[in-house]
Amino acid sequence: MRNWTDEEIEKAAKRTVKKFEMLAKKQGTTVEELFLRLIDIAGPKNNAKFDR
Amino acid sequence: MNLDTKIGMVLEGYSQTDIGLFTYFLNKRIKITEDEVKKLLQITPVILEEDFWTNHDQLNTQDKEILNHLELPDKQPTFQDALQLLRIIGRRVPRIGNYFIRNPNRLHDLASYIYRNWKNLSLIKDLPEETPEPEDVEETPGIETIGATSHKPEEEYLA
Repeated sequence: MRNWTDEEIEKAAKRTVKKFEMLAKKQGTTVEELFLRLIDIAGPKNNAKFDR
Repeated sequence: MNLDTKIGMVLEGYSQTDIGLFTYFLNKRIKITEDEVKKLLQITPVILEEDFWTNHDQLNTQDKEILNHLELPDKQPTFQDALQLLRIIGRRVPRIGNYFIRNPNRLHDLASYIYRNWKNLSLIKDLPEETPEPEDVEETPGIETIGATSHKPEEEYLA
């Protein structure tokens, strides 16, 4: 079941990567590091012990 | 909790973490029925919505900026939408794609986060940006000041 179109998702992905590239440059880091930080923000620290 | 239920819950947008948590309860033999698990999961997004703002307030400026740079379509996503978005991002940034392949739980957690917090993530983009402190601007002489003598205190003119 989907609500976003393929086109919307492609555009969102492209814009997100572009904006992350600009932010990485500003913060003196890499796009990969920013995504890892985003993953860290999204996942509470206590999650790890429940994940198998 | 059987495998079909687990798969069904993932498709409904519950993260591996949620399922891990309730499986943990079941494994610990805490008496909880499948219906009770479903009821608990129904209130989880509400709790998470409240947590979002609490957590957001605790984030540092750089982390808030990261969330603000997440570009999402202007429509409520399904879990599958969020998942697809991350997969495409993974194709564009191969190291992230490889990370998701190695850590599918993290992919699901992040997709679930986007799916559940889409409204909040959209709202924070609408918040006015913090106004920067005015910088000291060095005065450069304008046409009217070139060759002018130094300013006299106002009292001298009034005397």
